Amino acid sequence: MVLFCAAVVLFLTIAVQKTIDREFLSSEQSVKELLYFPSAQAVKLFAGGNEMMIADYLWMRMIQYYAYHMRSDRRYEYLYPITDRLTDLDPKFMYPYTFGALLLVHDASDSVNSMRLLDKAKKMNPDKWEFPYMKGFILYIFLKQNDEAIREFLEASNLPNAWDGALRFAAWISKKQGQRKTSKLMWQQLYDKSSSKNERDVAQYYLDKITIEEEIDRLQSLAEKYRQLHGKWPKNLSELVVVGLTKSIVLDKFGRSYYWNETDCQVHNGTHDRYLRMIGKME
Amino acid sequence: MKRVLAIALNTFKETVRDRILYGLIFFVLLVLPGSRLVIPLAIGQEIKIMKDFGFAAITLFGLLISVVVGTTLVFKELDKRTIYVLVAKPVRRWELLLGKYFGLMGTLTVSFLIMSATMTVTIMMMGGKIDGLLGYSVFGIYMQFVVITSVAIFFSTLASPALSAAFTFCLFIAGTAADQLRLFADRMPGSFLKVAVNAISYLIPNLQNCNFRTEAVYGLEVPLSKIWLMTAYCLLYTGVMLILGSLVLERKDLK
Repeated sequence: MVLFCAAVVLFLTIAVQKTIDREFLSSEQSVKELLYFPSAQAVKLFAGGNEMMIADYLWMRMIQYYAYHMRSDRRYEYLYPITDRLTDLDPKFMYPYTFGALLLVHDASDSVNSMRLLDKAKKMNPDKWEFPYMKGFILYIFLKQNDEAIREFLEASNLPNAWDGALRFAAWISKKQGQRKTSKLMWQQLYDKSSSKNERDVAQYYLDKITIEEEIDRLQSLAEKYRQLHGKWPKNLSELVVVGLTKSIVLDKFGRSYYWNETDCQVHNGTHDRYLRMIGKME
Repeated sequence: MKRVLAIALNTFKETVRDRILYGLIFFVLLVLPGSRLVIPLAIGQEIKIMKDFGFAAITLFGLLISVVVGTTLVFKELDKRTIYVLVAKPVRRWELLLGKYFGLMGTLTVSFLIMSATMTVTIMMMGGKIDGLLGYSVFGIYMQFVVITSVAIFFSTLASPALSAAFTFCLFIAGTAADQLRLFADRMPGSFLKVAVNAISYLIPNLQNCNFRTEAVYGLEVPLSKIWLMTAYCLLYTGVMLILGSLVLERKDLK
């Protein structure tokens, strides 16, 4: 009889709990509770050395929170606070920084906190190349802030065990922007640092390309000067030598010549023309 | 020494019979299937979470064994008056204390070996890497309990099991935050408070010295000198606790 009563009371207790859960427990509610989570400093004081496990718990709650809102309203107001708390508890836990930053900018459209999180990551882990790399990636892909992206990629490339892609990206972005000098420096650095022959070949390819483009620009500016002096464009580049604007017209590294195109009044180069045809910018 | 060993062996058998093994079985059953539950939630961080969980579980169970058993060991002898039989043998009181300590440490050592083996096997089954850093971390936790057990036994010579357990637990929590106390000391107004808080931070056992979990989880380097210094610190602190406990027991009126 007593056991039966105990079973009934237990059943009622469970029923009441289910009602509470249905009425009040949602992913949002459970995350709001986390906002009343004591500060990392306080948790560390009383965690008995187990703050990393508490951070893991927050990580799993963060994933659940994200998944819930991704399937429903796509609003992630508490994503940054949770990530911030858990990285306070375990500053070396890399994934929340990078994954969190990506989710913040891509899903939550919260670029400010995304950058804030990555800046914190860099401060707490100054020797990890992944964080400036991710920051550069986000700055370039999502925020279109190329100059800042280049700075971050360069910073990443100078850190221990950095992926060579950071330097390549920095060089590629600079080149695309016309920042040829910076780009040349970066490719040179990649060439000097790389232990891979293939990578050095790629770096050399871009260095040669930049050298050719620099020479094209130099000759074009001389042609412009010729026009200012004589009131017309030169018929060919030898005329620049004849009037003393330059000592000689050299061949490029591959033995191809620079030449003047009377149709578009531009300096061209055989190697550069081949490149432009390859990328479909020239017929 | 023979008397100490005899008491130690007896204590070991007694504590093992004290259902500690059931706790270990529970640990083994908790960790292995528990790790499988973690996997869907962890999003690529299974090994890290398993390590964190494993270390926390070993710490919890180690603390339970140290505190629950350690605080009753000497008290039981005093309470049941069985200490008279021993003292009449003749067994010196410090030999009794040492024997109890080593007996409990024997049980703790066996428990640690089982728990760390369980954790290692679980990590291997999950595809994780087993390296020396894991061993350092488990050794660090073990040394924490070398200290905490001595603290529990010291308190058991002074107070009832409930009070001893409370004091030991508080000292454990304070010990894991001892270096933070020193940071607080710097911010204290007035030199007296600074000195007082600093002194307290040195008097409580600095268990943070024994914490190599970050290194084990993130593969960071641990200088060997740090391990030696940590071991020396723990052994010295344990020595102080056992000496104080012996002094208290020597002066205790057994009537």
